[in-house]
Amino acid sequence: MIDLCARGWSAVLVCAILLTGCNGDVTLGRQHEQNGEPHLAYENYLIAGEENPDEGAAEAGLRRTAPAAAEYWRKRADKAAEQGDWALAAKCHLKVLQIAPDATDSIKALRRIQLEHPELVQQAHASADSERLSGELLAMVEPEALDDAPDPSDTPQPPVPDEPDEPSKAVQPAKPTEPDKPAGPAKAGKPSPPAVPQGPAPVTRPKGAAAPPQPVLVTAGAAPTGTAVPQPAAPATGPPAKPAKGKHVVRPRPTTPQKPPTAKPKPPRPAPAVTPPKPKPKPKPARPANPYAFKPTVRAGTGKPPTDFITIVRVSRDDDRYPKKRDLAGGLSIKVKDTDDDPLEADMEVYLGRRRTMRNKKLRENAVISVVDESAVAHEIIILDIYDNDETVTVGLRRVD
Amino acid sequence: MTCPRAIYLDGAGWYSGDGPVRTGLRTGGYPGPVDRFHWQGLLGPVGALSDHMGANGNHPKVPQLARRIEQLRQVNPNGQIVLVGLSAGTSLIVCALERLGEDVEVDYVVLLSPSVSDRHDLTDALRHVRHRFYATISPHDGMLASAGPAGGESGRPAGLVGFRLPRKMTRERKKLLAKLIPLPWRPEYLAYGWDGGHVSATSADFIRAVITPRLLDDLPHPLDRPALTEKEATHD
Repeated sequence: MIDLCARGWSAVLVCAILLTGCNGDVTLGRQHEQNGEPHLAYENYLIAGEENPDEGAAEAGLRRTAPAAAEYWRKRADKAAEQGDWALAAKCHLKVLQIAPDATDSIKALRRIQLEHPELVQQAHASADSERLSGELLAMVEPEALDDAPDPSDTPQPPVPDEPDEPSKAVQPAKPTEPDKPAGPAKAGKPSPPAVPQGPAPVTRPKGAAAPPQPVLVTAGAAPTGTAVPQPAAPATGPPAKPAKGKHVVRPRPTTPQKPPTAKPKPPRPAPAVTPPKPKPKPKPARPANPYAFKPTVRAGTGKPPTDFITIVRVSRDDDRYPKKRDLAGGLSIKVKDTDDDPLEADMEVYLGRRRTMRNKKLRENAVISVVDESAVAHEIIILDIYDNDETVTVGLRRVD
Repeated sequence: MTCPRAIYLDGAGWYSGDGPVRTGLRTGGYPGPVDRFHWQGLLGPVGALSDHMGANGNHPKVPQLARRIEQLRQVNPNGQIVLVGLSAGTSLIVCALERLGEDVEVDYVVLLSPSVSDRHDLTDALRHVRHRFYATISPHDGMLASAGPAGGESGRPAGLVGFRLPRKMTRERKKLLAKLIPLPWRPEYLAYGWDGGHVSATSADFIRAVITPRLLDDLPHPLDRPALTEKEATHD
């Protein structure tokens, strides 16, 4: 009987954790919105919407914050243009257009920049294609430049509606802030999409089921971008403390071990009477010491394939536009050996560096190959599409957290 | 018979998508009227499957649509003609374009959640498009994921995975395919009512903010990324 009760409570707990996790970005978005930071709120709602397009709260949040976020980036673009930083101006205008595609001022401004600095617009497009524009931009905008961001007290903020069934309201924000990680500039969430933008490439977004490595927006103390950000422990209950105006740090969701930041000397502080217990370091996930010893495994995919790919490539035996073997990332490469029509299957080989780590026959669409890269980071290669006529296979590579 | 004019084709078994599209185009500043071209059977939603499977070049409404476009063009040699279609309606648009006379062109084509096969060769249709040919793509389109391509073609619906480029590429074909511009779903579009779903691509806000600006400007929108870049299109 006791065992049965314990199981029931465990199930309730798991459900609560899952629900809280799903709404983490929306919760963060609401916090930023309440703090008068619509551009940061927008980014969090964007992540939530990408993870779950049916999330009504994300959609409502995007609708609410889009005009203010677009205005914020337009001002940033104007300021960058005044300072002659055309690369930043192009990126900011592109961001405005992503938020408000009908912003004619930004359309005209981008065309002007295109005339004089076509390479900068191309670079901005490359960032936009790889969907890391937001992170790059937020990292590029200097902290002092943000100081003149609209003061929340100056502009009346619309009330943020609370969902009655919002479980995360009672719980602390779901996204951990991890104080001991550096807040370096946002890195590539995804590299550029494949050469041919159609096909499953637009699955980029892009966008979908499981979240791609996205920047997590964190409000922090007066730490410039690229330095360590000491984070106070978030209170478990009650409204979030209002951060200092204009101090934002964008950090990509940590996926690989990062170098510790160069420590800055801190002024000596008086020792507290009682030394607080040190927080336990998070246990790192176990990884094989030798990535070459890892044997890839294959499983059949279920349901919709994920969309948070680092890269999507096409390999083909007969289509001259695509190579037979192609590098993915982290030393991983994939080669098509053969395809069959009935049933639709592909024979593929996976390489790590020069070494073939797997040869698998009869992989069907949506099959998932679990592999590790040269840094022993776990990845999944997913067979997205098989076209037997010219023996072309489209695969996506995603990181497994 | 005046231009500019947009002609809208609904999806299979669907009769009310023209409302939001018309509203979106009007509020976005599109200056012309929006006509609804009725092509579905009389069974309504019940006949959706037969509409879907019959939406190919043999559909009796395809020559009618082609004739309508030719007449419009004859009366307005320089007026803007825009074709907008949803789901299986896009299949009729592509087939009608393929039937047009040699020099007859429309200005823009917008395929919303197209259920045309991704393997359909668009070269002949693109010959009759003066400026750009937009096609939305969404991996979240559950309806296209469960249905096959319209008209009984093989492959997968282009609204789910995008159009495939033909294997053999001539210089002319590349030039034509440079007009094809995929519009993949982005989470930003949630703010405009398109959640990646099949029918929500006709949301009035999405049409106003995303589609209409592209029809009012001869130059491509800065966010447009053609299927073949200019460099690829001119490279042998």
